[in-house]
Amino acid sequence: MKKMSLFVSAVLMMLTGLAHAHGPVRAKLTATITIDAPAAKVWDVIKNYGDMSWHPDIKSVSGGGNDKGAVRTLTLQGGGSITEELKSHDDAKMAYKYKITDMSSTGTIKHAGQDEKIPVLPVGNYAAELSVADKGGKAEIEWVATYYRAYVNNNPPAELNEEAADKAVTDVLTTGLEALAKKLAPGSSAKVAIELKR
Amino acid sequence: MPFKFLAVLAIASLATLSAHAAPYAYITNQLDNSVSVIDTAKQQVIATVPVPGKPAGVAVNPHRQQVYISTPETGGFVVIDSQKQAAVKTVKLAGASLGIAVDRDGKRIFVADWYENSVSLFNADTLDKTGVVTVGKSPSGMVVSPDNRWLYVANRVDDSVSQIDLQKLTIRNTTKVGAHPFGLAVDAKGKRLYTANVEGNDVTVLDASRMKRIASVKVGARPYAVSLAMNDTLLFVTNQDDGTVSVIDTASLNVVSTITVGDKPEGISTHPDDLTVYVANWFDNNVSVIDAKTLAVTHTLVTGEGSRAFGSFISP
Repeated sequence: MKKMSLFVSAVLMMLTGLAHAHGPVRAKLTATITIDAPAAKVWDVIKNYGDMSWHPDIKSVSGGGNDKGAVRTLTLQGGGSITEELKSHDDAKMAYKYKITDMSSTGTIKHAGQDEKIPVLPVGNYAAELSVADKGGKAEIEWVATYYRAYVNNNPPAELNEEAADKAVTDVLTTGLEALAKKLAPGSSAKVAIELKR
Repeated sequence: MPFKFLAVLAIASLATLSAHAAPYAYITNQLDNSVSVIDTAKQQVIATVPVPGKPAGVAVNPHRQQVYISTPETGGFVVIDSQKQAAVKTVKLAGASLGIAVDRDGKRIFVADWYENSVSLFNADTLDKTGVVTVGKSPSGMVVSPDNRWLYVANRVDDSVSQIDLQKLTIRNTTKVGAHPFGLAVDAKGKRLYTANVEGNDVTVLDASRMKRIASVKVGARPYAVSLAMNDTLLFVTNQDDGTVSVIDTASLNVVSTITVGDKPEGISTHPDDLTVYVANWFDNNVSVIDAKTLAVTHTLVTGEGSRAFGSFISP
């Protein structure tokens, strides 16, 4: 009788796995805000790769420089660090692209018999582009991030699944854009629009 | 009128009558749940076919005038009729179907299941599943040898390639390659196999018949897939994180050029004329067309969101 029920549970587990089988798919999250300020003025605030003082979640930055390949390390307000490499920087386009190369972890959890680290931003292979464009005298600031969930196998734990990744990235981008709006167009009622595609 | 002139006229008009439509490129737009159809003579998108299920992989079947599109989210694949440019059938399969390929006769369709570590075989005529072969972990890219005897499967998480005997449906060889092989290609003589190794930032070159490693060639960041052109003298490799395509001279195995394309270039296929290479740019939502002689991008065609086109996507 015991053997039968073990077999049944094993089959059920396998079927559940199959039913939820979903490969880690790259997500594209676009955060946009349009504010009453000249685009050039916004660019002035954000253009230096080594200066993230406009973002409330970031305590300090070391490194930087605007040449391709430049590395910066962000120390976060809550503790933890993220290291990022600059992929391109275009003053004329008022845009720069970068990718995360390393992150500290907030701890480990046990999942599927393995110890899994929880990176400070629960994502994998994260790249982003920050840009500003003139839209009829206003500034449209766009921050686009592409990333995977942090756990690459099937049936991820809650801490490392897609919802966790999406929420964390949404928070970072929204906080940053709202801070820029507050700084450059105080009293603005502009809201951050989020578009997520996976 | 001189007879010769009449004869030439007659032949010329016959040629026009028998001329078929230009080759089409089928680009899966994974984030839009659609497939863009590019007329490669006009260099224009002439149709957009809705395909739900996050379409990713492509395998053209010129023998049946069909194109198979893998749908990893819903599991299975969709059949597109390349005359009507419309989806005509959906085949359901459990698991995450990503890599898809067709044999050289157009009689069998191979679908790789990323989580079940297997390749399912389908009869292209009836669309019945006819077999399953267990391979390594996370099978991704697949390619059939020109003599139709072998199916080569990249096992991404195992860092290996499996060689399947298509008569016996058994594994003949499994060889280690670089870190996380994804897309792969075989040359027209069936002599060499090339794998794009995502985590190793390199390409492994193998002797295809004996499955022996010959060399490793360093390319750009996170290579995705490979395609041969110019009579197999050049291998084109998409580097996802660099927004470039590395070009390797297959004789010297040196990188002879690095071409800037769009952001997150992924799927890559060579036109039947062997002179043009098409690259899908996932982030930029477009396709870069590369002239293989000048190694320059000649066209950029707007497709849909998340253009991926993983596999062989240009039909003659």
